Amino acid sequence: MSAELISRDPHLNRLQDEGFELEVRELVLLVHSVPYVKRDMSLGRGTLVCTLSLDTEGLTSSPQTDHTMWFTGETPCHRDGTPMTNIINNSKEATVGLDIKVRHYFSSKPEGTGRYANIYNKVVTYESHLGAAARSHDKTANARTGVMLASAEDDSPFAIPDSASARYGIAIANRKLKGRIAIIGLGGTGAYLLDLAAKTRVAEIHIYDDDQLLNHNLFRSPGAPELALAKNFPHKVDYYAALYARMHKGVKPHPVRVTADNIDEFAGYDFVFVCVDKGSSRRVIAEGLVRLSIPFVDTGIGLGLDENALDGCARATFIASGTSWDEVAAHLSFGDDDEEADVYGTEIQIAELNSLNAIMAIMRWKRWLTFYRDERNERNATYMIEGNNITNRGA
Amino acid sequence: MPDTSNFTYKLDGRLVATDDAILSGRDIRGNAGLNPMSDYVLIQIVDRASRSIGLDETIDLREVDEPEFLSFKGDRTFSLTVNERGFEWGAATISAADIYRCASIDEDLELILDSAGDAVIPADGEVTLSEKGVERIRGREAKTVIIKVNGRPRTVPKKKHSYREIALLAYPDADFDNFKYTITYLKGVHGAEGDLVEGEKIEVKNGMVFNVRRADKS
Repeated sequence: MSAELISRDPHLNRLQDEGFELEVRELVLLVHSVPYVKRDMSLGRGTLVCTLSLDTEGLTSSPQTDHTMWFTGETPCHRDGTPMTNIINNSKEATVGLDIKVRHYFSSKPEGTGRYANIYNKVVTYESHLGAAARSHDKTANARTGVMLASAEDDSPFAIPDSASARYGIAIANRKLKGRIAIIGLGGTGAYLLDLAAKTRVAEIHIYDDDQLLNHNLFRSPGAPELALAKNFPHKVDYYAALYARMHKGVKPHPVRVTADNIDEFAGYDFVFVCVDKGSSRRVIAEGLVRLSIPFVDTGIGLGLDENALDGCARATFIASGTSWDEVAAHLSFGDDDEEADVYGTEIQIAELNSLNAIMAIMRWKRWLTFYRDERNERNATYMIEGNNITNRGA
Repeated sequence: MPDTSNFTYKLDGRLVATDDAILSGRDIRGNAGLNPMSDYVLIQIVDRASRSIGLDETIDLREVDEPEFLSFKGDRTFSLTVNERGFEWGAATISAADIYRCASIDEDLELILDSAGDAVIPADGEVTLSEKGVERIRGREAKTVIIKVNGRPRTVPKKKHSYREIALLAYPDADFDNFKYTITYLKGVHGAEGDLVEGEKIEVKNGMVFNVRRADKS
């Protein structure tokens, strides 16, 4: 993403063309080798740092919403060695983005509007504050070194720049969501799970379902349908893979049913979400994942209509690796319904219940990964509609 | 304006303020604008009983803790006993809710009408007082409670119920060999809420709400 954004963004591109040493790490901009004057009037080089905010097209915002920058070097001074208190807001050590250590925080508001017209103006202005003092001692001191940095390791799985991590300061927590995950069953709950998983930094999201997309599925899936993709009843997984490729580069469709014959390929996943209806499938999957020691969340909703109102529950059961089969079977249903008669009317499904069930599952996963703090460590959580309560049972 | 009145009492559920410590039955009717006064029966709720207050009878508000009165249009009073305490009432019927409240009977007890061969008075029912004789009512430990299962009221024995017993109330042909029923509840004893799984039992109480569904759809 780093090199790609610099080449695509006209203002960053111009800075690079002029010779600035740019680097972008998870939407944090680093401008290296900026010359400055130290307290003893010797010259040093340091790095200017700021988080980038992007517009909807994924380009740096113009005008800039933030007029501040951090600096990694020692206290920058005027030509006579007096500190540049005119731009230093504070000198507390801090960490920006994932691991960028900074020592000074600058604030220099442009006159008039108070906002820089674009990122080019902002960088050039800050460089001139520090560099002009340095150039008064050595006129060759310039941040425009012409050095092209090798592109930083680009491991972003996203199809669009990830401006959220840097913006919300959660880059480190986001790094905990990694590896390869799988979602079995792309019904309502599975579709909402994909929607949420596609906004995490996991490398790959494998989706399994052998069903075709039908009209009623679209009433239980996030967002509005993309009719061009839904034409000719594609497999659900192919439709969703195409849709979510716009967000996440690692969505891999598998238009197959998961059975005892292919469950072993799940050995390669770090976590699995199970969103199936059939009890016999649930059994084969649970048995396989327990045997392979792959942690998973099994989801399920149960809605009923009595006295003209809907009630019921949503369940998310977390099976950590090492859980005994008896403990697994205590919570999961493995029977199949009679095909001909749905005596209980258990087929009722509503988007918000699927969505809630997906959220319960993804929250469990993220608490397990300590992305969120977890003080519960529950095995089974059940939301009761008419009571609006969630009941947890410990592991 | 700040209320400077010294005394208060309740009439038909509304708080009334007054400067007078001693009120007659006439004063209380007058304060409420009940005209003509003789067309109204005034009943005072006293300690787990009630009595009628005539026009010229007086009440010293200083001697009564939270005085409370009810007015009824009519010229007759009816008598009954609740837990062997005498009640006077201004209407030909009294609701079970009024009996629970006026006689301070715990809501977990059930009301019994002695004269009808120990018939249980439903919590939302009433008792007719216009028959000959004084109706005798008492509260006793309930043998059954009414719970709600998937929205439907069910009368069940007041005892501990197992996971399977509750599931069978919802699905009489439940298949425990093949399916798990997710049972959740609220408004249990001491406000308990939670879930119930195979092998567990739970005490039930009036008004407790259960939900029984198979949480296995995606």
